[in-house]
Amino acid sequence: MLVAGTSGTGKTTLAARVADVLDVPHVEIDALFHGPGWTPRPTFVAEVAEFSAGPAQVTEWQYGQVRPLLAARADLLVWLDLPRAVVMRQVVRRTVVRRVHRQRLWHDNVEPPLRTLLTDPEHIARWAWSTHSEGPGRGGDRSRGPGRPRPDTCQPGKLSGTLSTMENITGPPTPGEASSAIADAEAGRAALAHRMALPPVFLTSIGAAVALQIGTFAVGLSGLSGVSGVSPSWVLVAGFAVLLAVAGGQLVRFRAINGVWLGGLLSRVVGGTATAASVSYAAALAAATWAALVGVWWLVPPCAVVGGVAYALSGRRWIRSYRSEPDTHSRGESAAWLAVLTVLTVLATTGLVLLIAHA
Amino acid sequence: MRPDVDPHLHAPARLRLMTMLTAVSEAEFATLRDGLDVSDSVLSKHLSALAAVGYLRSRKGVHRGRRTTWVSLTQEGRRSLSAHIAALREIIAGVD
Repeated sequence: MLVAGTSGTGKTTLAARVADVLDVPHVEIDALFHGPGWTPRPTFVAEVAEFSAGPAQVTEWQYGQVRPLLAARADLLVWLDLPRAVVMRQVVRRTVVRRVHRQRLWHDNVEPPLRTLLTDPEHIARWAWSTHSEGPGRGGDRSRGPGRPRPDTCQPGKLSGTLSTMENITGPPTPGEASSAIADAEAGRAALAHRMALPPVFLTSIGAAVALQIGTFAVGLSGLSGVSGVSPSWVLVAGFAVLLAVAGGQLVRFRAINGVWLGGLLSRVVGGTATAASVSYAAALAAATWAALVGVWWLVPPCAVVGGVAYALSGRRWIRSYRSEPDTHSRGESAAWLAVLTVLTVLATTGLVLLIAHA
Repeated sequence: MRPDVDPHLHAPARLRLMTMLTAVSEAEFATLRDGLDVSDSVLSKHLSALAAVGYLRSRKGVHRGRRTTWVSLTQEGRRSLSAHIAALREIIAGVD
Protein backbone atom coordinates (compact mmCIF):
# COMPACT_ATOMS: atom_id res chain seq x y z
CA MET A 1 0.00 0.00 0.00
CA LEU A 2 1.24 3.51 -0.85
CA VAL A 3 0.38 6.84 0.76
CA ALA A 4 0.58 9.94 -1.43
CA GLY A 5 0.27 13.63 -0.59
CA THR A 6 2.44 16.69 -0.39
CA SER A 7 4.87 17.38 2.47
CA GLY A 8 3.21 17.51 5.88
CA THR A 9 -0.08 15.84 4.94
CA GLY A 10 0.66 12.94 7.28
CA LYS A 11 1.88 10.26 4.87
CA THR A 12 4.33 8.76 7.33
CA THR A 13 1.91 8.98 10.25
CA LEU A 14 -0.82 7.18 8.29
CA ALA A 15 1.59 4.62 6.82
CA ALA A 16 2.94 3.76 10.29
CA ARG A 17 -0.54 3.35 11.70
CA VAL A 18 -1.75 1.16 8.86
CA ALA A 19 1.41 -0.96 9.05
CA ASP A 20 0.83 -1.44 12.76
CA VAL A 21 -2.81 -2.41 12.39
CA LEU A 22 -2.09 -4.86 9.56
CA ASP A 23 1.15 -6.02 11.19
CA VAL A 24 3.17 -5.54 8.00
CA PRO A 25 6.48 -3.63 7.66
CA HIS A 26 6.47 0.13 7.13
CA VAL A 27 9.49 1.54 5.33
CA GLU A 28 9.87 5.29 5.62
CA ILE A 29 11.12 6.13 2.16
CA ASP A 30 12.69 9.42 3.31
CA ALA A 31 15.01 7.39 5.53
CA LEU A 32 16.29 5.48 2.48
CA PHE A 33 16.68 8.61 0.38
CA HIS A 34 18.39 11.09 2.69
CA GLY A 35 21.98 10.28 3.64
CA PRO A 36 24.12 12.25 6.10
CA GLY A 37 24.01 16.00 5.41
CA TRP A 38 20.77 15.65 3.38
CA THR A 39 22.68 14.13 0.44
CA PRO A 40 20.90 11.44 -1.60
CA ARG A 41 22.13 7.95 -0.78
CA PRO A 42 23.59 6.01 -3.73
CA THR A 43 21.91 2.77 -2.63
CA PHE A 44 18.43 4.36 -2.62
CA VAL A 45 16.92 2.69 -5.70
CA ALA A 46 18.45 -0.71 -4.86
CA GLU A 47 17.05 -0.59 -1.34
CA VAL A 48 13.59 0.40 -2.54
CA ALA A 49 13.67 -2.51 -4.99
CA GLU A 50 14.71 -4.83 -2.18
CA PHE A 51 11.98 -3.94 0.32
CA SER A 52 9.24 -3.61 -2.28
CA ALA A 53 9.93 -7.19 -3.35
CA GLY A 54 8.70 -8.39 0.07
CA PRO A 55 5.26 -10.00 0.51
CA ALA A 56 3.56 -6.87 1.95
CA GLN A 57 4.62 -3.38 2.87
CA VAL A 58 3.44 0.17 3.43
CA THR A 59 5.41 3.19 2.28
CA GLU A 60 5.07 6.76 1.05
CA TRP A 61 4.52 7.58 -2.64
CA GLN A 62 7.56 9.78 -3.27
CA TYR A 63 10.65 10.24 -5.46
CA GLY A 64 9.92 9.97 -9.19
CA GLN A 65 12.77 7.57 -9.95
CA VAL A 66 11.30 4.77 -7.82
CA ARG A 67 7.60 5.33 -8.51
CA PRO A 68 7.43 2.67 -11.26
CA LEU A 69 8.98 0.18 -8.79
CA LEU A 70 6.49 1.10 -6.08
CA ALA A 71 3.48 1.20 -8.40
CA ALA A 72 4.26 -2.25 -9.78
CA ARG A 73 3.93 -3.77 -6.31
CA ALA A 74 1.05 -1.71 -4.94
CA ASP A 75 -2.56 -2.76 -4.76
CA LEU A 76 -3.76 0.37 -2.97
CA LEU A 77 -2.76 4.01 -3.26
CA VAL A 78 -4.18 6.41 -0.68
CA TRP A 79 -3.88 10.07 -1.57
CA LEU A 80 -4.07 12.48 1.34
CA ASP A 81 -5.61 15.45 -0.45
CA LEU A 82 -6.14 17.84 2.45
CA PRO A 83 -7.05 21.54 2.26
CA ARG A 84 -4.02 23.76 1.76
CA ALA A 85 -4.63 25.52 5.10
CA VAL A 86 -4.49 22.22 7.01
CA VAL A 87 -1.34 21.07 5.20
CA MET A 88 0.42 24.39 5.79
CA ARG A 89 -0.46 24.36 9.49
CA GLN A 90 0.89 20.79 9.81
CA VAL A 91 4.08 21.30 7.84
CA VAL A 92 4.96 24.57 9.59
CA ARG A 93 4.27 23.09 13.02
CA ARG A 94 6.37 19.98 12.24
CA THR A 95 9.27 22.00 10.83
CA VAL A 96 9.34 24.39 13.79
CA VAL A 97 9.08 21.59 16.38
CA ARG A 98 11.82 19.57 14.64
CA ARG A 99 14.09 22.61 14.38
CA VAL A 100 13.53 23.85 17.93
CA HIS A 101 14.25 20.42 19.41
CA ARG A 102 17.06 19.84 16.86
CA GLN A 103 15.31 16.51 16.37
CA ARG A 104 17.55 13.98 14.64
CA LEU A 105 15.89 12.73 11.48
CA TRP A 106 17.23 10.10 9.12
CA HIS A 107 21.00 9.58 9.37
CA ASP A 108 21.31 12.27 12.06
CA ASN A 109 20.07 15.08 9.80
CA VAL A 110 18.34 18.04 11.43
CA GLU A 111 16.01 20.62 9.90
CA PRO A 112 17.92 23.65 8.55
CA PRO A 113 17.51 27.02 10.35
CA LEU A 114 14.01 28.51 10.11
CA ARG A 115 15.29 31.61 8.25
CA THR A 116 15.93 29.41 5.19
CA LEU A 117 12.17 29.66 4.58
CA LEU A 118 12.98 33.05 3.09
CA THR A 119 16.17 32.12 1.26
CA ASP A 120 15.61 28.58 0.01
CA PRO A 121 13.04 28.25 -2.79
CA GLU A 122 12.91 24.50 -2.06
CA HIS A 123 12.24 24.96 1.65
CA ILE A 124 9.81 22.29 2.84
CA ALA A 125 7.01 24.77 3.63
CA ARG A 126 7.35 26.55 0.27
CA TRP A 127 7.49 23.15 -1.42
CA ALA A 128 4.27 22.09 0.33
CA TRP A 129 2.59 25.33 -0.79
CA SER A 130 3.60 25.08 -4.40
CA THR A 131 3.07 21.33 -4.89
CA HIS A 132 -0.18 21.24 -2.98
CA SER A 133 -2.35 20.95 -6.07
CA GLU A 134 -0.29 18.08 -7.50
CA GLY A 135 -1.16 14.52 -6.74
CA PRO A 136 -1.75 11.11 -8.27
CA GLY A 137 -5.36 12.09 -9.03
CA ARG A 138 -4.51 15.33 -10.82
CA GLY A 139 -2.59 16.32 -13.92
CA GLY A 140 0.53 17.33 -12.00
CA ASP A 141 1.67 13.78 -11.59
CA ARG A 142 3.42 12.40 -14.63
CA SER A 143 3.15 8.76 -13.63
CA ARG A 144 -0.60 8.72 -14.20
CA GLY A 145 -1.42 6.04 -16.71
CA PRO A 146 -4.29 6.31 -19.17
CA GLY A 147 -6.15 3.23 -17.96
CA ARG A 148 -6.19 4.20 -14.31
CA PRO A 149 -9.59 3.88 -12.59
CA ARG A 150 -11.11 6.91 -10.90
CA PRO A 151 -10.24 6.89 -7.21
CA ASP A 152 -12.76 6.51 -4.41
CA THR A 153 -12.81 9.35 -1.94
CA CYS A 154 -13.55 9.60 1.75
CA GLN A 155 -13.24 12.20 4.49
CA PRO A 156 -10.14 12.05 6.73
CA GLY A 157 -12.36 11.51 9.78
CA LYS A 158 -13.81 8.36 8.26
CA LEU A 159 -10.37 6.95 7.49
CA SER A 160 -9.29 7.57 11.05
CA GLY A 161 -12.46 5.95 12.36
CA THR A 162 -11.93 2.84 10.23
CA LEU A 163 -8.37 2.52 11.56
CA SER A 164 -9.56 2.88 15.16
CA THR A 165 -12.10 0.13 14.60
CA MET A 166 -9.41 -2.09 13.13
CA GLU A 167 -7.14 -1.37 16.09
CA ASN A 168 -9.82 -2.39 18.57
CA ILE A 169 -10.92 -5.66 17.04
CA THR A 170 -11.36 -7.80 20.10
CA GLY A 171 -12.68 -11.05 18.73
CA PRO A 172 -10.80 -14.10 20.01
CA PRO A 173 -7.90 -15.09 17.77
CA THR A 174 -7.95 -18.35 15.87
CA PRO A 175 -5.66 -21.12 17.17
CA GLY A 176 -3.27 -20.37 14.32
CA GLU A 177 -3.14 -16.66 15.17
CA ALA A 178 -2.73 -17.46 18.85
CA SER A 179 0.24 -19.73 18.31
CA SER A 180 1.93 -17.39 15.86
CA ALA A 181 1.42 -14.46 18.27
CA ILE A 182 3.05 -16.42 21.10
CA ALA A 183 5.86 -17.66 18.88
CA ASP A 184 6.53 -14.13 17.60
CA ALA A 185 6.54 -12.67 21.12
CA GLU A 186 8.89 -15.36 22.42
CA ALA A 187 11.20 -14.91 19.45
CA GLY A 188 11.35 -11.20 20.21
CA ARG A 189 12.27 -11.89 23.81
CA ALA A 190 14.89 -14.49 22.89
CA ALA A 191 16.44 -12.07 20.40
CA LEU A 192 16.59 -9.35 23.04
CA ALA A 193 18.25 -11.70 25.54
CA HIS A 194 20.77 -12.90 22.94
CA ARG A 195 21.67 -9.37 21.84
CA MET A 196 22.57 -8.54 25.42
CA ALA A 197 26.33 -7.98 25.47
CA LEU A 198 28.60 -7.86 28.48
CA PRO A 199 31.12 -5.01 28.59
CA PRO A 200 34.71 -6.17 27.89
CA VAL A 201 36.35 -7.99 30.81
CA PHE A 202 33.10 -7.78 32.77
CA LEU A 203 33.37 -11.08 34.66
CA THR A 204 37.17 -10.96 34.85
CA SER A 205 37.16 -7.54 36.49
CA ILE A 206 34.43 -8.51 38.95
CA GLY A 207 36.30 -11.73 39.82
CA ALA A 208 39.57 -9.83 40.24
CA ALA A 209 37.94 -7.20 42.44
CA VAL A 210 36.38 -9.94 44.60
CA ALA A 211 39.76 -11.69 44.91
CA LEU A 212 41.40 -8.41 45.89
CA GLN A 213 38.67 -7.74 48.44
CA ILE A 214 39.06 -11.22 50.00
CA GLY A 215 42.83 -10.79 50.22
CA THR A 216 42.72 -7.28 51.68
CA PHE A 217 40.02 -8.33 54.14
CA ALA A 218 42.15 -11.19 55.45
CA VAL A 219 45.30 -9.10 55.66
CA GLY A 220 43.41 -6.18 57.25
CA LEU A 221 41.86 -8.38 59.92
CA SER A 222 45.18 -9.95 60.79
CA GLY A 223 46.54 -6.41 61.12
CA LEU A 224 43.74 -5.55 63.53
CA SER A 225 44.64 -8.56 65.63
CA GLY A 226 48.27 -7.47 65.61
CA VAL A 227 49.54 -10.41 63.52
CA SER A 228 50.95 -8.29 60.70
CA GLY A 229 52.38 -4.80 60.63
CA VAL A 230 50.07 -3.41 57.91
CA SER A 231 47.80 -0.45 58.74
CA PRO A 232 44.68 -2.60 59.04
CA SER A 233 41.59 -0.45 58.61
CA TRP A 234 42.81 1.27 55.43
CA VAL A 235 43.51 -2.02 53.73
CA LEU A 236 40.05 -3.31 54.66
CA VAL A 237 38.30 -0.18 53.43
CA ALA A 238 40.37 0.06 50.23
CA GLY A 239 39.44 -3.53 49.28
CA PHE A 240 35.74 -2.81 49.73
CA ALA A 241 36.00 0.52 47.89
CA VAL A 242 37.71 -1.06 44.86
CA LEU A 243 35.06 -3.79 44.71
CA LEU A 244 32.22 -1.27 44.90
CA ALA A 245 33.80 0.98 42.25
CA VAL A 246 34.43 -1.90 39.84
CA ALA A 247 30.93 -3.35 40.35
CA GLY A 248 29.22 0.03 39.96
CA GLY A 249 31.29 0.97 36.92
CA GLN A 250 30.61 -2.34 35.18
CA LEU A 251 26.85 -2.09 35.83
CA VAL A 252 26.73 1.44 34.40
CA ARG A 253 28.65 0.26 31.32
CA PHE A 254 26.31 -2.69 30.90
CA ARG A 255 23.32 -0.37 30.94
CA ALA A 256 24.88 2.06 28.48
CA ILE A 257 25.78 -0.72 26.01
CA ASN A 258 22.45 -2.54 26.11
CA GLY A 259 19.85 0.09 26.93
CA VAL A 260 18.33 -2.20 29.53
CA TRP A 261 18.58 -2.73 33.23
CA LEU A 262 18.76 -6.29 34.57
CA GLY A 263 17.99 -6.73 38.25
CA GLY A 264 19.13 -10.35 38.00
CA LEU A 265 22.58 -9.33 36.81
CA LEU A 266 22.88 -6.84 39.66
CA SER A 267 22.02 -9.24 42.43
CA ARG A 268 23.02 -12.68 41.14
CA VAL A 269 26.22 -11.83 39.28
CA VAL A 270 27.53 -8.62 40.80
CA GLY A 271 25.95 -8.94 44.24
CA GLY A 272 26.81 -12.63 44.43
CA THR A 273 23.42 -13.80 45.72
CA ALA A 274 23.57 -16.90 43.51
CA THR A 275 24.14 -19.84 45.86
CA ALA A 276 27.41 -20.91 44.22
CA ALA A 277 28.79 -17.38 44.46
CA SER A 278 27.79 -16.70 48.06
CA VAL A 279 28.90 -20.12 49.37
CA SER A 280 32.26 -20.04 47.59
CA TYR A 281 32.80 -16.41 48.58
CA ALA A 282 32.09 -17.11 52.26
CA ALA A 283 34.34 -20.20 52.21
CA ALA A 284 37.21 -18.38 50.48
CA LEU A 285 36.90 -15.41 52.81
CA ALA A 286 36.87 -17.63 55.89
CA ALA A 287 39.86 -19.68 54.67
CA ALA A 288 41.90 -16.58 53.73
CA THR A 289 41.11 -14.88 57.05
CA TRP A 290 42.04 -18.00 59.01
CA ALA A 291 45.27 -18.37 57.05
CA ALA A 292 46.20 -14.73 57.74
CA LEU A 293 45.34 -14.97 61.43
CA VAL A 294 47.49 -18.05 61.97
CA GLY A 295 50.23 -16.51 59.87
CA VAL A 296 50.17 -18.97 56.93
CA TRP A 297 50.67 -16.11 54.46
CA TRP A 298 51.28 -18.16 51.35
CA LEU A 299 47.73 -19.54 51.64
CA VAL A 300 46.02 -16.11 51.45
CA PRO A 301 46.52 -15.34 47.72
CA PRO A 302 45.36 -18.78 46.47
CA CYS A 303 42.24 -18.55 48.67
CA ALA A 304 41.48 -15.06 47.33
CA VAL A 305 42.03 -16.16 43.72
CA VAL A 306 39.84 -19.24 44.15
CA GLY A 307 37.11 -17.03 45.65
CA GLY A 308 37.32 -14.59 42.74
CA VAL A 309 37.36 -17.30 40.08
CA ALA A 310 34.36 -19.07 41.64
CA TYR A 311 32.50 -15.75 41.72
CA ALA A 312 33.19 -15.10 38.04
CA LEU A 313 32.29 -18.68 37.05
CA SER A 314 29.01 -18.46 38.92
CA GLY A 315 28.33 -15.22 37.02
CA ARG A 316 29.04 -16.94 33.73
CA ARG A 317 26.64 -19.73 34.63
CA TRP A 318 23.93 -17.18 35.43
CA ILE A 319 24.38 -15.47 32.06
CA ARG A 320 23.98 -18.81 30.28
CA SER A 321 20.78 -19.61 32.15
CA TYR A 322 19.52 -16.09 31.55
CA ARG A 323 19.97 -16.48 27.81
CA SER A 324 18.03 -19.74 27.77
CA GLU A 325 15.22 -18.58 30.10
CA PRO A 326 15.29 -14.78 30.21
CA ASP A 327 11.94 -14.30 31.94
CA THR A 328 12.71 -16.47 34.96
CA HIS A 329 16.13 -14.90 35.54
CA SER A 330 15.67 -11.26 34.58
CA ARG A 331 14.70 -10.02 37.99
CA GLY A 332 16.91 -10.41 41.02
CA GLU A 333 15.86 -10.54 44.63
CA SER A 334 13.35 -7.91 45.68
CA ALA A 335 14.71 -4.63 46.99
CA ALA A 336 13.56 -5.52 50.52
CA TRP A 337 15.34 -8.88 50.51
CA LEU A 338 18.51 -7.29 49.11
CA ALA A 339 18.39 -4.72 51.92
CA VAL A 340 18.03 -7.49 54.53
CA LEU A 341 20.98 -9.36 52.99
CA THR A 342 23.11 -6.21 52.95
CA VAL A 343 22.33 -5.43 56.60
CA LEU A 344 23.10 -9.04 57.62
CA THR A 345 26.41 -8.99 55.74
CA VAL A 346 27.44 -5.66 57.25
CA LEU A 347 26.49 -6.86 60.75
CA ALA A 348 28.37 -10.13 60.34
CA THR A 349 31.49 -8.41 59.00
CA THR A 350 31.47 -5.73 61.68
CA GLY A 351 30.95 -8.36 64.36
CA LEU A 352 33.89 -10.37 63.07
CA VAL A 353 36.10 -7.27 62.90
CA LEU A 354 35.19 -6.21 66.46
CA LEU A 355 35.62 -9.74 67.78
CA ILE A 356 39.10 -10.05 66.31
CA ALA A 357 40.14 -6.50 67.22
CA HIS A 358 39.26 -7.16 70.88
CA ALA A 359 40.66 -10.65 71.03
CA MET B 1 -15.96 -21.99 28.30
CA ARG B 2 -14.36 -19.29 26.20
CA PRO B 3 -11.00 -18.19 27.58
CA ASP B 4 -10.59 -14.47 28.28
CA VAL B 5 -8.29 -12.88 25.78
CA ASP B 6 -7.07 -9.46 26.92
CA PRO B 7 -8.19 -6.83 24.37
CA HIS B 8 -5.30 -4.56 25.38
CA LEU B 9 -2.80 -7.26 24.41
CA HIS B 10 -4.56 -8.37 21.27
CA ALA B 11 -2.24 -6.55 18.83
CA PRO B 12 0.77 -8.82 18.12
CA ALA B 13 3.14 -5.86 18.63
CA ARG B 14 1.79 -5.31 22.15
CA LEU B 15 2.15 -8.96 23.10
CA ARG B 16 5.71 -8.88 21.78
CA LEU B 17 6.47 -5.65 23.64
CA MET B 18 5.14 -6.98 26.95
CA THR B 19 6.92 -10.32 26.49
CA MET B 20 10.20 -8.56 25.73
CA LEU B 21 9.82 -6.58 28.94
CA THR B 22 9.64 -9.80 30.98
CA ALA B 23 13.27 -10.39 30.01
CA VAL B 24 14.49 -7.19 31.69
CA SER B 25 13.83 -5.05 34.73
CA GLU B 26 13.68 -1.90 32.67
CA ALA B 27 14.32 -1.10 29.02
CA GLU B 28 15.03 2.10 27.17
CA PHE B 29 12.82 3.41 24.35
CA ALA B 30 15.20 2.90 21.41
CA THR B 31 16.07 -0.64 22.55
CA LEU B 32 12.38 -1.57 22.50
CA ARG B 33 11.80 0.19 19.20
CA ASP B 34 14.65 -1.72 17.54
CA GLY B 35 13.52 -5.00 19.10
CA LEU B 36 9.99 -4.50 17.82
CA ASP B 37 11.09 -3.02 14.50
CA VAL B 38 8.45 -0.27 14.58
CA SER B 39 8.62 3.51 14.23
CA ASP B 40 8.92 5.87 17.19
CA SER B 41 5.32 7.02 16.83
CA VAL B 42 3.91 3.48 16.80
CA LEU B 43 5.91 2.50 19.87
CA SER B 44 4.88 5.57 21.85
CA LYS B 45 1.26 4.94 20.94
CA HIS B 46 1.46 1.38 22.33
CA LEU B 47 3.38 2.53 25.38
CA SER B 48 0.86 5.20 26.31
CA ALA B 49 -2.08 2.84 25.73
CA LEU B 50 -0.51 0.16 27.95
CA ALA B 51 0.52 2.70 30.59
CA ALA B 52 -3.04 4.06 30.62
CA VAL B 53 -4.41 0.64 31.65
CA GLY B 54 -1.67 0.29 34.26
CA TYR B 55 0.33 -2.49 32.57
CA LEU B 56 3.49 -0.43 32.14
CA ARG B 57 5.30 2.22 34.05
CA SER B 58 7.55 4.71 32.29
CA ARG B 59 9.92 7.36 33.51
CA LYS B 60 12.01 10.03 31.84
CA GLY B 61 15.73 9.41 31.99
CA VAL B 62 18.99 9.73 30.13
CA HIS B 63 20.71 7.15 27.93
CA ARG B 64 24.09 7.81 26.29
CA GLY B 65 23.69 11.50 26.97
CA ARG B 66 20.26 11.78 25.36
CA ARG B 67 16.92 12.22 27.07
CA THR B 68 14.83 9.10 26.72
CA THR B 69 12.09 7.04 28.35
CA TRP B 70 12.71 3.96 30.48
CA VAL B 71 9.87 1.43 30.54
CA SER B 72 9.09 -1.43 32.89
CA LEU B 73 6.22 -3.84 33.57
CA THR B 74 3.94 -3.36 36.56
CA GLN B 75 2.67 -6.23 38.75
CA GLU B 76 -0.71 -5.73 37.09
CA GLY B 77 0.91 -5.95 33.66
CA ARG B 78 2.72 -9.16 34.57
CA ARG B 79 -0.51 -10.75 35.83
CA SER B 80 -2.48 -9.68 32.76
CA LEU B 81 0.24 -10.96 30.44
CA SER B 82 0.28 -14.43 32.04
CA ALA B 83 -3.52 -14.56 31.98
CA HIS B 84 -3.54 -13.54 28.31
CA ILE B 85 -0.94 -16.13 27.37
CA ALA B 86 -2.82 -18.80 29.31
CA ALA B 87 -5.97 -17.86 27.36
CA LEU B 88 -4.09 -18.08 24.05
CA ARG B 89 -2.72 -21.50 25.01
CA GLU B 90 -6.25 -22.68 25.81
CA ILE B 91 -7.35 -21.59 22.35
CA ILE B 92 -4.43 -23.51 20.83
CA ALA B 93 -5.20 -26.59 22.98
CA GLY B 94 -8.86 -26.37 21.95
CA VAL B 95 -8.10 -27.66 18.46
CA ASP B 96 -6.37 -30.84 19.59
